[in-house]
Amino acid sequence: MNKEEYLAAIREKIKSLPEGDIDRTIEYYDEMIDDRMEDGLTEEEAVADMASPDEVSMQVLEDIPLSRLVKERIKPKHELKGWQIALIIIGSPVWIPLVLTALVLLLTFWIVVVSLLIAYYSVILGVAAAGVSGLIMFIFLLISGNTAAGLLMLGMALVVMGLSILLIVSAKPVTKAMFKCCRASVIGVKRIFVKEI
Amino acid sequence: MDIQLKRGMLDVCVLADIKDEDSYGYQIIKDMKPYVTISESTLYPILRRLEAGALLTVHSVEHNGRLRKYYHITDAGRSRIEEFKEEWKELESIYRFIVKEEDSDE
Repeated sequence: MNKEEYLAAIREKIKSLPEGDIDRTIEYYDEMIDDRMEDGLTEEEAVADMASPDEVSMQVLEDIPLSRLVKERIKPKHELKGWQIALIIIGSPVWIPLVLTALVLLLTFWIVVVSLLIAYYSVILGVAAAGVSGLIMFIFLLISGNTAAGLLMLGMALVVMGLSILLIVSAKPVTKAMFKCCRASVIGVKRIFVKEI
Repeated sequence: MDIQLKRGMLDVCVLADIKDEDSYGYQIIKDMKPYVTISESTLYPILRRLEAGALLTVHSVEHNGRLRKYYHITDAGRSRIEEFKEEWKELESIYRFIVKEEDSDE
């Protein structure tokens, strides 16, 4: 193996580590091989003197504090290792309440949206009912001979019914918008957990 | 040898090596070779640890058209060597106790 291949193999093994650590490790072994070659060894011999890329990557990983690894949020590219599982368990008193809080907040948001929709439909129903009852009142007033009051009632009933038609027409886009809101919130939450969608 | 014990001592070995003059990785390994053989992959975490603990500082020096990292001991590094000498006295008396007990067994 020549130097390029050796360093590339190390880089491949530690590619999920923080950037700075990768560069420093590569620089270190690069320098070590160069110094050996200056000492009279051939490139192949110098590389053969080094630990295997596997061993190097293990040692580098051991050396980085867990807290920093977590901070850098390395993406697990392979199965979870023992120490990662241990870390998740140890951290559970912190992250479980946080996740629960987030879920409760989300649920609250959805309940609010649904409540708003129910309120909106109630208003439409109320306005429509007022229009219809206004019409009935108009008929009763007309029969009882109170024409002036009847006409007033008719006018009010027509205004209210017109308003209810506008509300019914608007109900569809409003409902759609609210469901869109809900969906966006679900996708938003998923984005937090899965980095690339 | 007990890994923890050896690790702590190797840290001091590296500090002792650069005590009088700044040095670089390969030279440190060569200096230590007659006494204790350490590999590049053993030295690397030691250097990182010592740097993180501010016992030494690193600077790059141009050499043959490439950069070579030189390690320079700090005051904290020097006092770490002194500390170790004190600890060693304690270790020695522990050793004497162990040997004495062995002797009395025979």
